[in-house]
Amino acid sequence: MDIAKLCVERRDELVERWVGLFFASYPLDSKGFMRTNRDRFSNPVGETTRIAAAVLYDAVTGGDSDSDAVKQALHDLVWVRAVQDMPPSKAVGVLYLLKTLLRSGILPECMKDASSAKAVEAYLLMESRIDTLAMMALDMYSDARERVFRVRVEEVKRSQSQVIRLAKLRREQEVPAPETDNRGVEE
Amino acid sequence: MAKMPTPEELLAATPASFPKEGWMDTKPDFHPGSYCYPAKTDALQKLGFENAHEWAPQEEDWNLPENWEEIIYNSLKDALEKHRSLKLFMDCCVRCGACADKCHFFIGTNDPKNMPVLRAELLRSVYRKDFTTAGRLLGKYAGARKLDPEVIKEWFIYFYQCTECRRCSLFCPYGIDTAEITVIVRQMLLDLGLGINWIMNSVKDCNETGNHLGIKPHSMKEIVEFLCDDIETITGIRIDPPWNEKGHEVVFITPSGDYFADPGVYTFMGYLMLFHEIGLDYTLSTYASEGGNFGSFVSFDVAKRLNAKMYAEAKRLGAKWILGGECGHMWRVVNQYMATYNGPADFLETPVSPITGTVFHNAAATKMVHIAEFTADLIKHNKLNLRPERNNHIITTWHDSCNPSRAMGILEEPRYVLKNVCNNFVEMPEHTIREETFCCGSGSGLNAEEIMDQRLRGGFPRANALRYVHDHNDVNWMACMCALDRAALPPLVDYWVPGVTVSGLHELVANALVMKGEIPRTMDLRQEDLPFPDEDPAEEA
Ligand code: SF4
Ligand code: SF4
Repeated sequence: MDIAKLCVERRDELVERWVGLFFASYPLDSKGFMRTNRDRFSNPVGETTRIAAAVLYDAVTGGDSDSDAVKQALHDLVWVRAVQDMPPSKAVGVLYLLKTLLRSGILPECMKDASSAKAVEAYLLMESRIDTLAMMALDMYSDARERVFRVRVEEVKRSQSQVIRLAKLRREQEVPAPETDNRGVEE
Repeated sequence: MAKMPTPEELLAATPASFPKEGWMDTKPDFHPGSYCYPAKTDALQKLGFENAHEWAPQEEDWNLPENWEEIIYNSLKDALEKHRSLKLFMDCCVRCGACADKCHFFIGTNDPKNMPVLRAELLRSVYRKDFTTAGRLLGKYAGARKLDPEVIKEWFIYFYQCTECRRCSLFCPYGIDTAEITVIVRQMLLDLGLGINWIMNSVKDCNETGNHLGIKPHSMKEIVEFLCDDIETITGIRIDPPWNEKGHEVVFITPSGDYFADPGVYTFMGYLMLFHEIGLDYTLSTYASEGGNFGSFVSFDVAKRLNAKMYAEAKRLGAKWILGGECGHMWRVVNQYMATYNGPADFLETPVSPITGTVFHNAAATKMVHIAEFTADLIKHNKLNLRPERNNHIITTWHDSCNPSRAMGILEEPRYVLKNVCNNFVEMPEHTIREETFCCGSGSGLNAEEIMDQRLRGGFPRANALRYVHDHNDVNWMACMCALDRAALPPLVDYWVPGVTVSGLHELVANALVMKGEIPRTMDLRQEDLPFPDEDPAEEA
């Protein structure tokens, strides 16, 4: 059984089903739009998901893929989902659902004939790649959330930068405070 | 041992924000990050809102006034009488769906209630119940529903998830303006004592002191002195702008963010440098130091009150006309509402550029010119000595801010200015610019820090188009002419497209402006080294 060939044959169908599972995180009424609008500018969430799913499927099934492109696709997907008001398990965990798809779409074929041991081994390797992607995604998710909090803090500072500058000047002009008393407005 | 759930079960079991029932029956979900902090009671009281009270969005009971249904009914009745447009908007939607997928909040969240048609339906369903015969008789079957506190909560979530950008109305065959519906619903909520802190506190401060942070006049002057120190460091030229002085030709009014916030202050420095260079006879004003109008986000009445300060100050100072800084919604208020609010401003004159003699006939009614028009006219008449090479390290694109572009049509002037001060200009893809521009996601007073996730979702379509030109054309700069954008785009860009700097237009103008008597420039307005500094004549010799 040539499992690589099988993965290529089933690619479009499995990617489409996987994308469907990503979209399942969204309400019923809007899935039609996410599925049917294929313009990357008017449906950026849908298209980012779609593009990423195809790249990640190839990476998992062992097709040729450049590691930077894989990282970028995963990053784009995770950073979109990280601000979609869903729990982390849903934002990242949906990657694991590819296993279910592969188990129903690829695994049975691998186990069909006598020489299946090798095919099963190759199959397990694919599942491990999903684990790797999920671990990478976890890091990316956490980076994304940290970035959100950082931009919130920076926004507050920026929004009154000159007032802070004035407050600092006023403080300098006051009677010098004792060395230890250095609390005050942050830069 | 309990059975462990499968990943499918686990993912399905996580609370879905959108149950399967019809939209009318789904309840809004309140958790930190999903709502703006409520306005403080004393701020609302100071502004005269009778029903101001303590409440918290996440609580079950919002302590609504006892006769809250009557208040809403009267408020809607009043709005329908005052705004013929509202009645039209309520009656004429044919649910064609043309607007449905045009809202950046829908595109970024995929929440159906962010489809403009459904957003408006949140009000329409109540309108139908009480103000149409069919609704009174048929109730739900005619798309009508009874007012209950859950409806109020839903309004609070979804009408504070509309930035009043009007992108939807561009695509609506009837021109139904959801932005106006949003303002009216926010007004109705205020009548119940429900507002958001970021907007109402700014309104209170603008009302009391003239700017949105409530900075007192002497501090304001001191802050501008800092900026003049910076200008002197960069150019060697000392500028001392007049404050609250009578008898100048022009009073200059800009959003107060330009005085206090990064990166707006660089744009402000740009204005001062330009005015100095052309010898404009102007004054600044502490009384009218907020050109933007936070009131316009929530209430026509409050907007009128704040807007009146601009005319009153121009009159008091005896100016001939008003020059407006780089602001977005100021422009919508000035052109769509000012004349009806507080006009006619007969005591002012139709603006004429003292430098070029151009008569701004377009401003004959409002007596107010946008600085993008003013500067474009200066450049067109060759009145500025510009060295765009100083901006050669910048590859810029232009973000059309919703209000000046879609609402007011200032599309060409800023591009003309930008192309004259910057040699590298790249447009973002079509359908994401000009009239069809995507909102920053934080307009209409939604740039509150506590809803950053919502803003990042709503701003994603904008950022996504920017990312495209960043990836394909190495764009590293996005200029805009709206103070809210200068505040809201930096976090958006920092999350989605790091490596792009956000600035106002006049920051780039002033970088390129060769001023009489200046020292050779080695740094830009942010005091960062210029990769292509001016040649120093002393060194050459
Ligand atoms: S005005 Fe803008 S934010 Fe509001 S519903 Fe329309 S497109 Fe959405
Ligand atoms: S485009 Fe206009 S008429 Fe059509 S659904 Fe939207 S608001 Fe209604």
